[in-house]
Amino acid sequence: MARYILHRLGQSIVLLWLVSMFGFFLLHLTPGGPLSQFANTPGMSDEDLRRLARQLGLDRPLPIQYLDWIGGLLVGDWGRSYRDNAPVLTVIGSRIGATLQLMVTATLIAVLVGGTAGIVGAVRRYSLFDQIVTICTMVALSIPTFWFGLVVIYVFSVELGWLPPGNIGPVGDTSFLVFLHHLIGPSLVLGLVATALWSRFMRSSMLDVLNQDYVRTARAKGLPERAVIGTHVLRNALLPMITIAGLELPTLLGGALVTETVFTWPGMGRLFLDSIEYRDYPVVMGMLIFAAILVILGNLLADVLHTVADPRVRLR
Amino acid sequence: MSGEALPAADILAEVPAGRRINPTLRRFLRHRLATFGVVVIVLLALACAIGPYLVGYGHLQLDMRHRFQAPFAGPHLLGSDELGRDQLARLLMAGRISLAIGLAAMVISVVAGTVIGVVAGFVGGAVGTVLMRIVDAILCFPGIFLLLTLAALINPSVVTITLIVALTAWMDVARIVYGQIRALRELDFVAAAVAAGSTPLRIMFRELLPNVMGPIIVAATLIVARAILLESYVSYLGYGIQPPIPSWGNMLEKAQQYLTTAPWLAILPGVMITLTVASFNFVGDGLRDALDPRSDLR
Repeated sequence: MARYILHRLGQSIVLLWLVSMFGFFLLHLTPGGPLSQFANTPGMSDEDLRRLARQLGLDRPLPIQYLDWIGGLLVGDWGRSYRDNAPVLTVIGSRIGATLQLMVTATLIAVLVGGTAGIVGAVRRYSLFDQIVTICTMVALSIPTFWFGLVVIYVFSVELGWLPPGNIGPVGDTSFLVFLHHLIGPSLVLGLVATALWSRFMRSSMLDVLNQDYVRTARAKGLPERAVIGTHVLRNALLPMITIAGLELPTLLGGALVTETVFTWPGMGRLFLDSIEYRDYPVVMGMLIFAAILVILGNLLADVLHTVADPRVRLR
Repeated sequence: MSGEALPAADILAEVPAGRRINPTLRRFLRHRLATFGVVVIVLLALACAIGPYLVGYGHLQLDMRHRFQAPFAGPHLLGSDELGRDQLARLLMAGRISLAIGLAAMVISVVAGTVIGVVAGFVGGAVGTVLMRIVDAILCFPGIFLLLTLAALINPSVVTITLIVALTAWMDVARIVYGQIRALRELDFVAAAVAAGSTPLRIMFRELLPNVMGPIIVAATLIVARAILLESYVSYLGYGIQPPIPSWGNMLEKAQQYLTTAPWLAILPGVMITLTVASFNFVGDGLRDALDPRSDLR
């Protein structure tokens, strides 16, 4: 057990290192480069640019810059934003809360709605309900998130007036109910893809278990169907879903970026777009790495939890 | 995944030998959604190819007397936008761009992913491990983050957007091909090919590759769907295809401002994207079942 976790931890660290290399060199080798923002500023002479490059350490060879940057990452110094000179980690930290709120709510919706749909669909395989859910799942995975957001705003805010069209809430009014009211729209939008994925994976996981011999045995010894599904099938089918939750993280993060834009939700996605707009290299780099770390951690955590919950995995 | 297995003899006995259609095609046609998908894609491609010549308005033609005209309420069949440009003409031209990017990005990423997957799987060892670790690393970045970063830094054009989309899509193909090749490499026919003196290049691409075509074709179809979706994301956010060239994504960029007054500007492009992407997804799903001989036993 400990050995397995250590092994996975080692893999994750190697992966993290590759991710940092890839992110750094990709960003620094693309035309433009970190200085492009300053180059656009009026009245900036070549001499000024060179001085700036020296100040920011951008005139050094790339490998040296990389070592400097990764060294900083390790001790928690992720550089400073070009915009307001705030430390990158502080900038990210100030925004991550709003994104997490969205992601958690969306996941809750996905687990409840998608999970239930998947379970019922598998138990009543090929029924009308199952077929409708399957089609809906495919369509949901084909809808552009931002457009679904626009439709939700149009229907529920413009036409029906039930939901506020955007923002986390009126300035100054921070009551919980107002916040919840604003959370509904973006969570629904972000939850759509997650719900579709959950229902699809839950269904196939259930079907895998339903075909096992021990399920036939349970039925043969006369257990009521409720007990067979509830105890024998469901509990085993839920195990692989732990891994799915981890695998879904990149999709959820990417979806959050788009959803936040449509609903002007002040989270990481908004920050990322603003930083790109401003060519705020340290923040963009920091967020790319941060997102990758979240994904790697999510997968690691899911794997470890899966191992804890299901002793058979340890034998691999 | 197993159901009641039909004895193979029964299936063969029912159909006279002459009228037996290709089993792969039969399995595909049985998949009604996939057939629907093919029909939609063909119609859409035809409409985008021929349609712009029939609409009567150019996609860049301004008509200031009919700005914000609602669909079916004037000379413009599907309405017009803030400059009086014909929505139908723009949707069809945008379809050309979006479909072209989807297909081109698919070809690039499938070729790249296949080559890397085959080499990594066949050569194996350190080369294979390094290649596949790189794939793992790139997959750690949420696709949209990577896509936006690159699109914002590079001057966006149809060609660069295609390349960037392809760059974020080849990894899945590489993984699939790698897994298959690893399993196939151990089989006897490879040993036979080696014994017959085939070059590694020949074994990789003439002996092994044809056996992996099924999963590659399925992945390719799904990548077209994803590429069209990704292009619409970057274009919507303003870093993709730049106006005045229309794409379904950038048509939606402006539409949000006019959501209350001209909702059709937001609805129609989104419907087109969803319809196209869903069709490719349906076809991919159908192909997956059709190309898998075991699915007959279900």
